[in-house]
Amino acid sequence: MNREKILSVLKGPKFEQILQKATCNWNTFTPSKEQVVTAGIDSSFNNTKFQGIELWATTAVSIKTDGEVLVDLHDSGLGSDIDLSRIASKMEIDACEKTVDEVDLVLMDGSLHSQFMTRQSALDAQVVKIMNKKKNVIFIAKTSNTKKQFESLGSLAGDIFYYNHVTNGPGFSEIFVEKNYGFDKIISSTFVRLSDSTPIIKLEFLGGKHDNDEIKSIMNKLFKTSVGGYPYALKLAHNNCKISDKELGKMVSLLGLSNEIGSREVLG
Amino acid sequence: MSLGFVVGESKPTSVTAITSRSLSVGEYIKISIDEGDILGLVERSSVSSAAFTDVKNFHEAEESTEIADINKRDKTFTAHIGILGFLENLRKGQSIIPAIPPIPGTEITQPTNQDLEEIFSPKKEGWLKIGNLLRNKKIEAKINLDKIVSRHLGILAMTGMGKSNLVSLITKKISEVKGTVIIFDYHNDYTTLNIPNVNVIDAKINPRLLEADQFSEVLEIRENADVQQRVLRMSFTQEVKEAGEFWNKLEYEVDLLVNSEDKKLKEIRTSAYRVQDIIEDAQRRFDDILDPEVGNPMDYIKEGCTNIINISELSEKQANVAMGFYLQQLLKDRKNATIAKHGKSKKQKDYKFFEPVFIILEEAHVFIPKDHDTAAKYWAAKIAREGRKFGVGLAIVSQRPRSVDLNILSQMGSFAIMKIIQEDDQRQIASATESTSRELISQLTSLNVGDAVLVGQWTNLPSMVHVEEVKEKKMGADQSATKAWIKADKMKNVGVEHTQGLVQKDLLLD
Repeated sequence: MNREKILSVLKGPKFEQILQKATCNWNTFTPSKEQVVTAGIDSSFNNTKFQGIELWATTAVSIKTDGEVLVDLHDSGLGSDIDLSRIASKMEIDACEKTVDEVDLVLMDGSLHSQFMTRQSALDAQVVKIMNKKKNVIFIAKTSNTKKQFESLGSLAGDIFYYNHVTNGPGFSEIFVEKNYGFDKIISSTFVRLSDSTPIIKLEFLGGKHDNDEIKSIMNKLFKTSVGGYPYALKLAHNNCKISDKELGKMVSLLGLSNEIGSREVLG
Repeated sequence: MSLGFVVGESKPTSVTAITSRSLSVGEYIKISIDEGDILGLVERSSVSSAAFTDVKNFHEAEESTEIADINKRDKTFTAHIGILGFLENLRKGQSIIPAIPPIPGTEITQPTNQDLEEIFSPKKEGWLKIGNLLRNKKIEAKINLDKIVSRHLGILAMTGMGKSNLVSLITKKISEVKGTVIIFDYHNDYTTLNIPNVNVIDAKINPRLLEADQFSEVLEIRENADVQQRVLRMSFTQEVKEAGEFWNKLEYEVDLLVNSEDKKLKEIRTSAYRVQDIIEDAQRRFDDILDPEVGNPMDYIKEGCTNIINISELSEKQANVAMGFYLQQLLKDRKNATIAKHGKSKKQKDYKFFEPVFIILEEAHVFIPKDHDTAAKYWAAKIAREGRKFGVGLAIVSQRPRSVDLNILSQMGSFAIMKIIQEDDQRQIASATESTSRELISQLTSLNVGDAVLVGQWTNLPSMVHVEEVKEKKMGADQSATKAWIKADKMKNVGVEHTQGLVQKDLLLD
C-alpha cells in the first residue's frame, strides 16, 4: 500500500495553506485538573420488525462521573414507521432539563449543530431554552464532518482532520461562531485535545460570546474526569443507555410476542 | 447481612452471584430458598472494573484510577458458587442438592458460625480437629478418623507444602486414642517425631521369609538376567531357608551348581559364578539390612504405638520387597484377627493385632507406580480393596500423583490435597476424586504452605483448611545451607582464637 499515494488525494492545491491556517488557529494549552460535578447524557434506540409491525424501545440516561444515575428514561411501543431518532432526541432533552440544576457541567453526547439545528430542528426551541437556563450545557462529539473553517481554501476533509494533522499535544482551536440559525441560536464550537496524543473532540456551546479563557476553564473541568481524552461521564452514559438486541429479545418475551415471531419456525 | 444476589442462569448444582464485596475462594455462603437454606462454596471469584475495561495504554490506566475511585458502581464482584446441599441435611452428614435451582434474584448471605460449626466441627466421637477453615478462621475443621481407617486416605501435595506435617498430625491424633500406626519412612522424616509411644524400627529383611523372586530383587540381580535368577531359584531351597547357617548353606547350594558334572547344568556355570559373587557381595554390602537371624520383622511392630519403619537405608527395590512383605503380613494378620473375632475360625490365635491398624505409605509414586508392577503395589492394591473389611487403613502420600497407580489412588475414600501446580497432577487428582470440582482443583495452585483442600468421606463437605502445625515434628523442613556454613565458619574462628589465647606471647617466635 502506498501511503503517500493514498493521502495525496487529500492534498489539494492549497493543502499546505490549510495546514498553516490550522496551525495558526491552534492554541497550545495544557489543562490542569479542576474538581466539578459533571453529568453525561446519551440516548439510544432499537427496534425489531415482524409481521408488518415493529417493537421499539428508546432510552436516555443522565449519569454522574461517580456512577450515580440522575435520570433514566425509557419508552417503548408497537407501531410502524416510528421516528425513533426524534423520540430519543426528545428524551435526551428531557433528561438534560432534569439535570442542569443538579450538576456543574452537563455533557451532551453528539452535535448541537447536526442533531438539533438540522435533523431534529423541531426540538430547537426547547434545547435553546434549557441550555440558556444555567448555561452549563456543552455538546461533545468524538467525530465531526464539519467543513466550515477551511472551506474557502478548498478543503476536502473535515476540519477535525487538519487539526489532527498539525497538532499532537493538548490545546484547542480558535472558537468558530456559526450564526446561520438565527440570533438566538448562535453556535460556538472549538476542537479540543485534552492531553498528549489523544483524539481531538469537538465542543459546542450555545451563544456567540465565548472566549479562550472560558474554553481553558472548561478544559480544566473536563480534564479531571477524562480517560483517553474523552469525558468518562459520557462513556458511562453510553454504556448505560445501550439497548442491545438481546434486551429487545427479552422485551419480546415479556410481552408474550415470541410466538408471533417464532411462527416462521414451523417452516424449519 | 446481604452479600449479594444470584444472577444469570442458575443450576441446582451451581449459581453465579453478584456481590457487594469480593468473596474469597473457599468461603461458604448461604442461599435461602422456599425449600430451606442451602449452603454454597465459593469456587471462583472475580472482580472487574468498568473504568479499566477498555484501557488501551499506560496513560489511560493512570487516568482511570481516579475514575475508578470516585465511581461507587465501578467494580463488579462476581462469584461462582458450587451448591453443597441443604444445611439441615449437611448437619447430618448428608448432601441433598435442591431439585429446583435458586431463582435469579435470590439473596445470598453469610452463614452463621453455628451453621458452619455444626457441619465442620461436629461434637461427635471420632471427629478430631486438624486445623481451621481457611476462609472462616474461627471455625475448627474436624475430620472423621474412623473414615480414614476404614476407607483410606490420599495426601497429595508438592514438596514442602506440609504433607509430612499432616501425616504427623494424623499420627499424633491416632496416637492420642492409642491407635496403631505404621509409617514406612523412606526419608527418615519421622524417626524424631516427639509423641508418646513411638516405636522406631530399622527395617530389616529376613531372607528366610522371602520367595526366590523377592530374594533376587533384594540381592539386586538384574531383571533380565534370567539364568542368574534361575540359579538362585535352584539354590534357594527350603533346606537353605531352614538351615542354621543360612549364608553358608546358600553358598554351598550355589557351589554345587558351579561344580556340577551334569551336562545340562554346565551351561549355567558362568551365571552360577556370578550369583556366587552377588551373594558374597550382598553379605558385605547389606550386612545391616539382610539378617537371617532377625526372626519375623512383624514381631517388632507394637500394637497401640506409632511404629516408624525406617526404610531409608534400603535401596528402592529392597524397600519395595520389605514393604510388600509387611503389607502382606499386616493384611493377613488382620484377616485372621477379624475372622477369629467373628468366631468363624476354630484355629488357635494366630494374629498379632487385636484392633485396626493404619498404614502410611510415603513416596507412593515410587512404591505404587502406575507404569510397572511391584510387590508393594500388589499388596497396597489388595489393602485398598479389602482393608475396609479387616480394619486395615491405608494412607498414600505423594508429591507426584500423576505417577501413582490410578486404580489404587481412586480407592482412597478421602483426600487432603495441598498446593499442586503441575497440570498432569491436577488431572490425575480430578480422575481419582469424583467429588472435587474443576474449579476447586484450579485453586490448588493458589494454596499456601499448610493449606489443604479436604474432600471425601472424612469431612461432611469439601473444605479448604489451614492445617495446624505439629510442634512435635522436628525434621522435614528444608535445611538452610547458608546458616549452616556461616555457623561452621564462626566456629572455626572461635577455635583459632581460643587456642592462640592459650599460648604465651613471649613464647611465640617471629
